Amino acid sequence: MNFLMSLGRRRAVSAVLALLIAFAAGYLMQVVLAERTPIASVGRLPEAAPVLRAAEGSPGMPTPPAATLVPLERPPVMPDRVYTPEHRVPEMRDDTRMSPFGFDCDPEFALREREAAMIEVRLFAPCDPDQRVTLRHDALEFELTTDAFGRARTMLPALSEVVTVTATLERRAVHAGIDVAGANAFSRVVLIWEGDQVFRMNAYELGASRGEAGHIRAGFGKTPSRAMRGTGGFLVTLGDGSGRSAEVYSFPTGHSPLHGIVKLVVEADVTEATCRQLARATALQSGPLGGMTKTDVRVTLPDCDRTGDVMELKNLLQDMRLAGR
Amino acid sequence: MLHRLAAVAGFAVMPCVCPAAGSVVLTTLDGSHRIEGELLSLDGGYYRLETETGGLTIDQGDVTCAGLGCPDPETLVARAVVGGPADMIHRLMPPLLESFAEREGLIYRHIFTSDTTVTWEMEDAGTGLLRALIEGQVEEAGDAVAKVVSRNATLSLGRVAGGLKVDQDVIALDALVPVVSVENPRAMITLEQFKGLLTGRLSNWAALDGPNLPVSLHVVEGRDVTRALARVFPGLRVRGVTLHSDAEAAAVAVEGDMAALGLIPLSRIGNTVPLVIGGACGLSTPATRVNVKAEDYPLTQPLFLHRNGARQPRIIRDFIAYARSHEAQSVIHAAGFIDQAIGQIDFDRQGDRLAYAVLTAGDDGDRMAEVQRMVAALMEGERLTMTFRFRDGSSDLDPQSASNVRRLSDAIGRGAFDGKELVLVGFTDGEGPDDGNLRLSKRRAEAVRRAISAFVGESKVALSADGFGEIMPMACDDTAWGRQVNRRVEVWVRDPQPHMDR
Repeated sequence: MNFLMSLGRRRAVSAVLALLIAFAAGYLMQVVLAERTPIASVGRLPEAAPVLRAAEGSPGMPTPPAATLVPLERPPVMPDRVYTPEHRVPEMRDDTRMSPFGFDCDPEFALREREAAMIEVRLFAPCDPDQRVTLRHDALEFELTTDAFGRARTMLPALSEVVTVTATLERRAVHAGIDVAGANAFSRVVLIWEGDQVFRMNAYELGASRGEAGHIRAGFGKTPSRAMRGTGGFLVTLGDGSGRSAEVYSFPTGHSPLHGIVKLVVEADVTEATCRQLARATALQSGPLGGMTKTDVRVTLPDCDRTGDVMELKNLLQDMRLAGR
Repeated sequence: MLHRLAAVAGFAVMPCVCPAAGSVVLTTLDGSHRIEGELLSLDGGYYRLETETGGLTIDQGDVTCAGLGCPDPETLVARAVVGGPADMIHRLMPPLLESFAEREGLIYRHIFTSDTTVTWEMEDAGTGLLRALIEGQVEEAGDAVAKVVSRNATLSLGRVAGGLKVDQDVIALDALVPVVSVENPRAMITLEQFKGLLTGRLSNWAALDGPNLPVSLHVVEGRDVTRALARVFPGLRVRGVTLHSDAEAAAVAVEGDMAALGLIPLSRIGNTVPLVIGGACGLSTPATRVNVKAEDYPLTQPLFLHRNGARQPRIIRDFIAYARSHEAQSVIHAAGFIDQAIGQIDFDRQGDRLAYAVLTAGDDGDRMAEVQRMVAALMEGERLTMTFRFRDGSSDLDPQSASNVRRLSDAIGRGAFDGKELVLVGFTDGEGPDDGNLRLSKRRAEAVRRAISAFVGESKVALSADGFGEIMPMACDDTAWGRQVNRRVEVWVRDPQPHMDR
């Protein structure tokens, strides 16, 4: 299924409808057959309020998060979603809770484990087409835009064995959880920024020099399957280039026979736009205390007479050490 | 966020290390004393007051403050500046501070501002008020200590002892190791060969039974390296060596050159491979954690935390105490340094040394009897990864050993050896007559026993001392370093033996 296909709505309504029917058929197979418990409807709330795992940090949203979605692979253990009356927003057409194409407004949100402890994330929010969506997993955060049908899809790395991913749209948030048993075999380094990218991550594996095969950076990120072979790491860029984005480098430190270090260097181009500017980012790295340690990056770039230079930050990220075995 | 702004605003209006602002009356908690004066500063825990009779410094915890000049204690922020080498500022400090903050229930924030500057903030989890603002600065070891001496910095970290003007502790260990590239098949080098290369007397791998290739030598520049080398090779004059300003550059140079030999801190060897240091007599010492902890490895480098005599804000004092504590050792280890947690080494691991002792005793009946007495005394015990050694030609403990007295006493105080017996076991080098060495080894062991006893006071641990002269060397006696390493007091733990003299 061509998931991310996007077509002009007005000019090709019939084409869209045809596609939608095909899409919906496939979707219904997944959704309906997944034995979901019925939606608790407005005015017929359960007597005991269900425990809600609200998404964090989204104050001021007209529709506070009140949904707990579990991945489709698993039977849900509580009502999928509960809307209390104060959550009703007229513009949402809550009376019908249907999208213009006839889909239920409640988003579908599913996680699936992929190789190298990566997670495939699929969001279908029929009433939120062409909208910003923020995906958050632990301290990793980045933004995407849903397509004309309200769909978004991405891969992200599991930063821990028990993963919760939250997708926050303008008017609602959903989250889903999944266990990724192999997550701790990977050392991860994350760089998160907002707006234009200033900082870039470079991983020099086992003594590789600039431009060599072991110099991993955006554009030369390699693939997760490389990590599965234990021969090296890979880098992914998350986000769609506006809002918050992230670069994540992963190395299979837990099952690599290699001995040596991966040197991690962060670079920034000194340009007319960046010179003398304070650039911010957040760095996360698998730390010595277990879990990810977080660093706020607030670096002022060099003076404008150094435009054209590349600033190197060697001490921001700690080298990864491979014990070998 | 609002709390945080409030804290920052409070800080701006009333900087806590503040040249302040009005007269105050300090009253002792029991009401017995009143002190009036102009408040000069409140430096995280201490009021500095100008009174009619002169300046006064008073612990904030002992008094209450009244008057317009009194700062709101809620807005107090402890400030500190910490200087040191890049690896200690960026790799050792952050996890230490983070784990300290967690233990204290504080929120920790790590703000990276450049390769040479970093700020750490600790914030009260309940109120959101900023409690400590610590700046880290990457500096040459000498500069960092000088700033501490001149009170422009609170703490410094480094690999060089700080001299008499600062208080210092050994908070972690590192070691200089000879390294080669992965392509170089060599596994061992003797101290004599290494010295020959450093002085330029040897210059080709062929002289070390290797391929016919000129050796290129890469050494990290710095007083710590000079001192460590001088300890092992007194009077050494290094020639024909490429000096690198930092360990990383030296490691990179060695890693790409099959003919290269480097001398680099173990924590920063990068992609190079360490060599075992051996001796002509057949004893050898790889740079393992255990050997470095026990100072059996020749080029051990203590990592110091220096501070000046100035009174520090309480939270900074607590942090220093934490960094020295048993609790912090696992963090130091996880950060890639060698910690000082006291480990134990089985008697079985003494195999090489014991074999050497038996072989060198040969037909000497007295000496063989001593070897047997030693085996009987120690075979049921385990050696601690802590050794007491002495400054050259003196009975004064070296800096690491001086710290060891405190750490061993702490461990005894914690009950780590309750119900056990600790035996301080002295050994000497092979210079001089056997019987003189035997007496000397017993005397040194007894001196260390007394030092620890004085520190510990009453305890559930039996402390005894014994000595075995020169019979079990660790390293060959043919170098000054080897002899120095052999002059030592080891610590063994075993079940109490009532018949032994206390």
